[in-house]
Amino acid sequence: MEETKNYGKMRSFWFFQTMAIIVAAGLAVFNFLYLRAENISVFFISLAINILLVLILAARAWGLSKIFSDLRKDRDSCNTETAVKSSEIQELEKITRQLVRRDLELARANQRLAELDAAKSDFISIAAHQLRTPLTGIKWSYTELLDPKTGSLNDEQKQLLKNGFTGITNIIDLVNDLLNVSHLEEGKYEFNFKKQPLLPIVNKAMAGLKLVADEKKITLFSKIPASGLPEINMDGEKMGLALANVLDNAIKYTPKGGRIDFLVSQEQGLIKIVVQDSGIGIPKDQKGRLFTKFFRANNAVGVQTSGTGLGLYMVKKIIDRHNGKITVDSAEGKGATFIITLPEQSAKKK
Amino acid sequence: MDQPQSSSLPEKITVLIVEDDSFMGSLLKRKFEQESFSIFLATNAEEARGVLKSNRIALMLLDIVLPGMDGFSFLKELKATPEFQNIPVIITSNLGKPEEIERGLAEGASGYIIKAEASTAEIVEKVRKVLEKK
Repeated sequence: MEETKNYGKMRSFWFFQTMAIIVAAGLAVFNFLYLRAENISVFFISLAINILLVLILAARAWGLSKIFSDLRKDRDSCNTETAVKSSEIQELEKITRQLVRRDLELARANQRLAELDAAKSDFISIAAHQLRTPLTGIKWSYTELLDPKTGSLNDEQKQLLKNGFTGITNIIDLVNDLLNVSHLEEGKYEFNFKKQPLLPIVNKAMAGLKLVADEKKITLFSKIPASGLPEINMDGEKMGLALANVLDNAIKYTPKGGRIDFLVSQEQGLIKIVVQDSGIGIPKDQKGRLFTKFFRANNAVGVQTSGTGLGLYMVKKIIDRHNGKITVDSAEGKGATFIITLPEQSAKKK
Repeated sequence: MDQPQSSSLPEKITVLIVEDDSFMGSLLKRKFEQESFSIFLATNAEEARGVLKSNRIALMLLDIVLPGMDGFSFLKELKATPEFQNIPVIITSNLGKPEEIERGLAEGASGYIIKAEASTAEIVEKVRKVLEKK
């Protein structure tokens, strides 16, 4: 440190200065004692000069000692500062080491989570795939049993089989949903984007809807632009799936004699698809969770106990991939309106 | 000569069903026989080859997921074999992924069925359609 060098220099200087004072003082005393008898004026002159010298030296010594003491204070405070800084640095080093350790632990934990997640996804994929085959076989068995060609059944037997058939169909739906979701999450859900017209997909969804709506005596009102719809870059199959799902829900949760409006329009570079039903609606406090995995609103479960809670989750993922948006407007008991908007421009690329 | 009621074709048609799940295989066999088809069942490509060599097969229902050689590879092999390449093949699948469908058709399949979405009656119908087209 600069101060330390200066301090060293000043110390030697001070030492020599002190020695000079002592010598000068000695000379003065010697003068006083030895020369006094010989020549009074020379003696007094030399005495005066000696005293002057002594005073000058003393003043310098005093000045120096002051500088010296200041320097010592500086050095001490420097040392203290160094000591403080040194202990601060040690503290910082300790904290840094802890942070590095935690970082490593976090990275390891994250990796473990990713592995578990992949394993879970794989498990769902494998389980769903393995379940599909026997489930299809069971469904076929029930179909054959219900077929009059196989043999006649009494009403009770028929009803029992019909119930079983419904149960199997529900399980198959669940397995399909689980498979789809796990594929979606794994990124294995391959989206094949192609510029194609939206109209056939909309019409197909409508046709599917009409059949069930008629059965349930639900009035279906649809409005699609006469001028047709533009071609958009999309995965037709997935988009059809998403639309079918939203329409399916509308039917499911609208009681007999209700009404569903299916409106498609084009405005400001956006394609807008509105599905409005007069059904049970969605409670306000549950709207926020509607598009989350496995979520089913309380009133929905009341109407139909079976349901995976995966439909809207998948729909949202599909719409997101198409760079679109899906929102819902609803109040309990007052129906629900789902609004899907899709940009005419290209969808998000993977 | 009386024609069977359920078919417009004169004699029993022999169909080879290649399906590794015996439960499904037996259900399919039962349905087809009910509809006056003659059925052979094979659970893998090797068995299927054996049946093809010793019988006159009119059509083959081929599962994609098989133990040993998979359905696509077997299909490719068949289409490269002069004595079997004209036998129409309908691919059956559990998952029905678009890329599977495309691949099957590209390898020369005459049709595609997604088992989980079809009933046995629909499968019989599809087989009839493909045979009538031939």
